[in-house]
Amino acid sequence: MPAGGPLPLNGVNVTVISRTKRFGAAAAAAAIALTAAACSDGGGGQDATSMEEENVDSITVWHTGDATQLPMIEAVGKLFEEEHGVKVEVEAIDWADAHAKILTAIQSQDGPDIFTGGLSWGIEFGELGGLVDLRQYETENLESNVIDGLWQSIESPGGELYGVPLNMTTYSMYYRSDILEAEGIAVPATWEEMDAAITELQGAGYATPFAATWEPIGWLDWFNYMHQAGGTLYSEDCSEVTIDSPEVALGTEYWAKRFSEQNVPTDQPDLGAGFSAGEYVFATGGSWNYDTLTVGFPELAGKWSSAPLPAGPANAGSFIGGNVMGVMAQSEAPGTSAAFIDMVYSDAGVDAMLTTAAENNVLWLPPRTDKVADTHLDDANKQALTTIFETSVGPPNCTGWEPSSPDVQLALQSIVLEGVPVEEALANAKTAMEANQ
Amino acid sequence: MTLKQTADPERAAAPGPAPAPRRGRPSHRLQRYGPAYAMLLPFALLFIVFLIFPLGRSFYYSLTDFNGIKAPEFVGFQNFSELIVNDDRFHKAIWNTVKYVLGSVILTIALGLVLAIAFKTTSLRDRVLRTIFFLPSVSAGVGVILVWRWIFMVDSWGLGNTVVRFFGGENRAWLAEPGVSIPILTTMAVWGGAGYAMVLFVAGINAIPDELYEQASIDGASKARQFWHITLPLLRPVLVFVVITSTIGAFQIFEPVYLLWRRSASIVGGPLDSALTIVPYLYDMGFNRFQLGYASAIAWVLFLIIFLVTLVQLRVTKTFKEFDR
Amino acid sequence: MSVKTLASAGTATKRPTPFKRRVNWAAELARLPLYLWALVVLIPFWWMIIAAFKTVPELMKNPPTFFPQDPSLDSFYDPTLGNKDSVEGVFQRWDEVAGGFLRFAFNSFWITVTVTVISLLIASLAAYMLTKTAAPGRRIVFVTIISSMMIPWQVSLIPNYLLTSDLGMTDSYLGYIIPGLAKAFVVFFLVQYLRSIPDDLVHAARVDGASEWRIWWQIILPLLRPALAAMAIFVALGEWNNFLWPLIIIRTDELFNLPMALSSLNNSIVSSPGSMGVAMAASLLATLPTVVFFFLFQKHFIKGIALSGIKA
Repeated sequence: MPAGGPLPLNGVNVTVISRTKRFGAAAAAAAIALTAAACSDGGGGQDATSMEEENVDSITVWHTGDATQLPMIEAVGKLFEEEHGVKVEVEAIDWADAHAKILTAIQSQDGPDIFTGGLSWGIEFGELGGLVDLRQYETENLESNVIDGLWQSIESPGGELYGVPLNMTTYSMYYRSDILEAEGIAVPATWEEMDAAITELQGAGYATPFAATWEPIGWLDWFNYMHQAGGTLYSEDCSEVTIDSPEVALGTEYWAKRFSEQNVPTDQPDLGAGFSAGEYVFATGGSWNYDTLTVGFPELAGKWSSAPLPAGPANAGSFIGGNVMGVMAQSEAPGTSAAFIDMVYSDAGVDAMLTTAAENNVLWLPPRTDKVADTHLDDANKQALTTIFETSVGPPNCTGWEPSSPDVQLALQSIVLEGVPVEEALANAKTAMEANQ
Repeated sequence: MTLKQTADPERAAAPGPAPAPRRGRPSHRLQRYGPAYAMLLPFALLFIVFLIFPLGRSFYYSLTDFNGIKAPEFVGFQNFSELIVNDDRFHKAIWNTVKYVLGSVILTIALGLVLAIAFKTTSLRDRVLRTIFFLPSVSAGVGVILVWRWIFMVDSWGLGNTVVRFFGGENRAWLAEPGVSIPILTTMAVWGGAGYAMVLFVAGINAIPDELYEQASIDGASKARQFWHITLPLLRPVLVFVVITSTIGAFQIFEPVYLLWRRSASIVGGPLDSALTIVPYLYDMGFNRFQLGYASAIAWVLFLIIFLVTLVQLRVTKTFKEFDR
Repeated sequence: MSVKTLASAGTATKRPTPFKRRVNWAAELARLPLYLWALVVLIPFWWMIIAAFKTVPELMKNPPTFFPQDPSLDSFYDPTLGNKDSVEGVFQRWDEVAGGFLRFAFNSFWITVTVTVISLLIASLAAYMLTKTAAPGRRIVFVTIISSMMIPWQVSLIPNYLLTSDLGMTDSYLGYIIPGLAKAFVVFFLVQYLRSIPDDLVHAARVDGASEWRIWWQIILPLLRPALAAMAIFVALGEWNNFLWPLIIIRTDELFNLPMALSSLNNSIVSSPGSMGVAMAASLLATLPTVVFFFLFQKHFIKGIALSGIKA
């Protein structure tokens, strides 16, 4: 087989330049026409229609999360179908891909009626024109029942309600109660007690007494300490970035010290396996770990419990997140969808979710605090959760936050990984946040 | 005929297609060539709709602030100047990509060449080993990336940490240490690509006539001299091909970055963006934030970089070629 | 020395030096690190295979085991699902999708086959037109096709997404298939290959009054077989591993291909170690077909790659 000539690329290069140059101008003109036609606006301003006017057979929900959570939403869906004859179809999408997928759906005007996703996405997508304001519709159960710490995270600065929480995810501190007992250490309730406990455990041979399992060097983990030190990200009306305040600096110092001095792993390890192996004594993590520990590690039964995160100099409390749930602007049945969301908040809806959760052995924290006592946890953990709820804070509701969070995260990582001074890193974060104001 | 003569002068002597008769009315010509054009049509149509036309559209978007939802507004070259002058994340992405491309291309080719020289025969041993080395190229994909993710787990039962402890080291948080991000990507690339380069080199080496080596041996040339003066120069076309294609491929790395370091929504690129390369950044800007205008500008900068690098590589090999003569 | 020497020497026909009886110990010693590398190459595969058959407690064992002590199929299918410490195996995980994991395998298979067959057919038509007919305009077409190869496909990613979305093809098989059918590289390669085939046969057929379509079907396609085999492997592997495009256009689980399904398992690794065995089991299932395919067509693979290096 004879070989062909030398690489043809020699001749190609020249032609590419001239071709694209000439082509660019012509194509641009054509493209303008096409895009103008293709991109109608995202809606959001249509008249509110009622369920009767819409008269649809079914609505679709995209739930960001894993499939184990679908039965809870489907349980409300069943109720809804019984009452209104409208079928509710629920699909799960992964956390990592969900943000892009829902944006794509908003862009292409082709997606579900209801989405659920990150707590701050409601405002983000709403401001883009992708969601409807729930206040345009009849929703009797919503207003009175969302907990305060979350309410400020979901109402847009302009007063629109683009989404309400579907469920909640809290930060808890899990611990090996048997080890603490054996070492004679009381469950730490403050930073100082925590430091003392870690020193003592390290002395007792535990190389890694404390692990953070939910984004250890991400902004989420840091947010807890920032809040406990009395810091905030923005002023109350979002007009000012306050990430460079002395309080935030104090919290950040403490947060960073844990990695440099207390050997907290910087990547997220597996909580259950680490507990099971006896490597960690304390671990902060999301509320889903209640299930992981109960179901995945039956051998640990009775050897672990949970508590609120230790309080800082200013505040007790920690981050609360969860799925926000909103109605897509392109939905043909916004009224029906809003009615479904309302049902999620009704007594019957919450009961259906909790019953299903208990049957499936899944912890489901409904957005109504008055119902937390109905979860299937044991009393000690229930007590811990109730305290956590009372003191939790959600992410800021300021429009600039979602686009800024990657930059803030980078600044925080530079402290832990590169030894950048806290003040300097926070100043960098502030610059990035102000650019998105 | 013109095409053949210009593009491939060596083959001009070969019998060409039926000479096109220049006479005849246009309608006759259409009749004559109708089937030919019809044959081109399916490809041409798809090519124009999904390749050429999108290029123009992409260039137009790169000059706008298009966010996918509101109508685009023309902003001139603002996206490009922002990218080139101000965007630190983009600079970081370019720098990471360059490090990755250099490391992975050089190591892949060096190892591929060594493997080809060591295992070029048709003996059973060589064939088995070549199959082993080639296996990762066949199975490249998300599945294998997941294996790497598992190897580099932070937990003490990860394979990476087990090996490190075996050699007396401490557990590491592989995917949370900025310093090892690019080395991890490079390792994966060499693991996956060396066997592929090897196959190309083996074909190239075995195409070199034995007589040349025999003659050189008679003349008393050492093995090393034979390598530098016979193998390497004759392997140049294949070498150039491998260098250029693997460089272009390396610039477009996406999957490993996306799958190894993705921890939560809307953040890609690993700790301190240490694993952020150009295409993941394009994805982040384009599909996490829907800044489609800006992301289009990134795509065109990517093109420019690849284009310039290829140009330089060809220029360099050309110089060497002339030097050789 | 120039390229021509290499060309005239031929490539595929030459027999490599036969293995010499005399063992060169120095050379063998120098090869030692390369044997080690062979081991390194195999370890990730081994790691994947054993993980797929380990039980959850064994997966988290420190130090890890290199042979499963208590091999189990739970990561594929756990008959005790629902009990405590049971695993949701690969084939149980997507019970809301008809067919579950097999559906994704089917999607991957179906898309790969369709794209490979159609793209090769239309490319071979184009290549025939470009090399064996005298239709005016061939040169500009060919130059345009080669030029487009210089442009990374990511440049057209965003407009292609928007176009696919405007055409209503997101979240559909059509969206997977149609935008990826025109492969410039394949046309380029086939053109290079066809040029090395004399035109006599085509002439003779034309003289006999055969239509262009017939010549393409009965003469050109059989002649192109080695080149088509090489390209089929490239296109099929690329399609089998396609990830970024479906990541953007596909939203419902029913339409996931294997890489998408694996990616969704990747996300769950973070939250539970049991998922890791499942992820490895799924990776094994997704990787196995390509390896089997490789062993079946090993000769074509190697030839195709060598061909691509030399033809280009």
